[in-house]
Amino acid sequence: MDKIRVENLNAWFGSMQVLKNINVSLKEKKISAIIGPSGCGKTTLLRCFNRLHELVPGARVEGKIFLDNTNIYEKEVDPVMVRRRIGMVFQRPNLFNHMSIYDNVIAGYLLNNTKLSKERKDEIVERSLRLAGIWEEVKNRLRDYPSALSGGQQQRVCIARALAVEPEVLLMDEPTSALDPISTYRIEETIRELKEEVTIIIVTHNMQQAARVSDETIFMYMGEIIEVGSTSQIFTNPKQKLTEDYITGKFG
Amino acid sequence: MKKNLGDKIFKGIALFSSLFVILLVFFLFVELLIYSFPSIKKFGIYFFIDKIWDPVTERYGALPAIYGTIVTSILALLIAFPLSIGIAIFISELAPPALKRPLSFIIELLGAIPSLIYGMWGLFSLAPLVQLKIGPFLQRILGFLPFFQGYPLGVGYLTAGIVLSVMIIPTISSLSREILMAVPIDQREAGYALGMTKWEVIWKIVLGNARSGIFAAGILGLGRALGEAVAVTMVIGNFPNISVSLFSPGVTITSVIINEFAEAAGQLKISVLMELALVLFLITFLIMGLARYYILKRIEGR
Ligand SMILES: Nc1ncnc2c1ncn2[C@@H]1O[C@H](COP(=O)(O)OP(=O)(O)O)[C@@H](O)[C@H]1O
Ligand SMILES: [Mg+2]
Repeated sequence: MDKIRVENLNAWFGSMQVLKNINVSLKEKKISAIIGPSGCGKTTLLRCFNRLHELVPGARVEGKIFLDNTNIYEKEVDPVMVRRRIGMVFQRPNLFNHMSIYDNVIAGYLLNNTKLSKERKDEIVERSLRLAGIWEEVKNRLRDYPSALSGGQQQRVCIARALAVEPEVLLMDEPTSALDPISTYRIEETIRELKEEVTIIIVTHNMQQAARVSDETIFMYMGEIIEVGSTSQIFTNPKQKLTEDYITGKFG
Repeated sequence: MKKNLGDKIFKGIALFSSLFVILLVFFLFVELLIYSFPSIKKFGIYFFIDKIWDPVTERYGALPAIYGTIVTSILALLIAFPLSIGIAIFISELAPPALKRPLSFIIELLGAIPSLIYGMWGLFSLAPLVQLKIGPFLQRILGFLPFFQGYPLGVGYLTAGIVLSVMIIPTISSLSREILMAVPIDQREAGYALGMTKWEVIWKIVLGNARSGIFAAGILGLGRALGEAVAVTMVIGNFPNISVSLFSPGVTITSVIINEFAEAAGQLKISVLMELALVLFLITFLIMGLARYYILKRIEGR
């Protein structure tokens, strides 16, 4: 089953085109990795999936992205609704500075004056923090502010915050690039466990990470998709010369 | 060697300048205290609770002036604060990029207009408006409140409060705008990515992040209102009086000092005015200290 289908997607920053005619499908409840050298457009592609790209002044998108069977770039689709179905974890942890850990996790429910009972909130917070593998570490300090946590802990609370609203798709943009090896290991473990719950798209420029966590791999180069395939095929038997050169470390 | 000497000289100058400023403030305080002494000795605590101001019998109570200063400043803050936040939000979050700079510039320009000009505007344009339009209108819709009793004269607490509010809007709004613009993009994007609307991002994320800074901006505005002299003196009515009604004329610490200093004859009168200045100094100092404390907490706390 395809969860997301991209058709003829192009994206620009001002007059600079950074995504060129992207066509790709992503399977439901699988982990897809997007790899490629720095600046090839991985982040931009990810930010097209939840319509974040268009928020940058001067940025523009053309083409179609189907989530299930709706084109999220259709005129009548509200980007806010798209973003409630597609969560995102950024490259750097970006918990809300002015909110406690607890309030950060529940932040997705503060919208539209959604009313939740205290018990229901506690339940959501615990479930999400457990899913993100950080419950034990923070359960006694839920009223602390994010600055009291390490970067790796903050990033896992970010994952919990994104999961709290039960998204269908989770976008992750190099979620471990700013973290130490142990935090990285924990987050990779979390990602593998989450596969049961959500469709995951993870950008990474760490090829070992892509090989470790993903089912499918997409290789991008200069704004284009060069090759898509199962992760084992891409890493053991790439069809394109460019892909082979990249995964064998000839450039990048 | 040469560079070292330069460093030393520079360090010396810097140290001297900062010490100089601190000493200046300190001596100002001591000077005020010394001059106030006869008044402090004669009136003691009664200075702060007596309502009568009578140069003939040499009875001087500062309560009306302290009351007027506080009422007009708080009124100014109540009017200016929400407006300034609105302006700051508009410039930093909503205005098209081409409008941001000119708007900021105009607001800053408003802050550079001499207070005398605001006073003239207050006296010749605003006071008649308060007397004939704003006053009666407030009385019609809010006349049951004690604040809007009696007949609006034009000059008084309300007019002074409005003039002061216009004068502190530039301070509060440009500071707030800078604080809002300093909220990192990643905080906003985190909000959008969770499915927040633009308004939710502005209210819950941007303002939430900036709240202590905006609070400090408000306090700085309040400090400015407390110390404003010329414009307030022109529109306050200069009648030593304590009235809950905002339509009443009154006095402020600054207006009393301005009005009485020129003809201040005799040790005691001068000393009384000095003590008034000392009170203003202390109130302002306290408020500024509070503001600084909050700004520092914001910068260091995260
Ligand atoms: N905010 C921006 N404004 C202008 N150009 C940008 C911006 N962000 C990224 N780019 C450019 O777009 C291209 C793709 O960037 P990005 O998608 O971030 O690449 P990656 O995530 O693969 O490193 C790069 O050339 C980058 O310089
Ligand atoms: Mg990137």
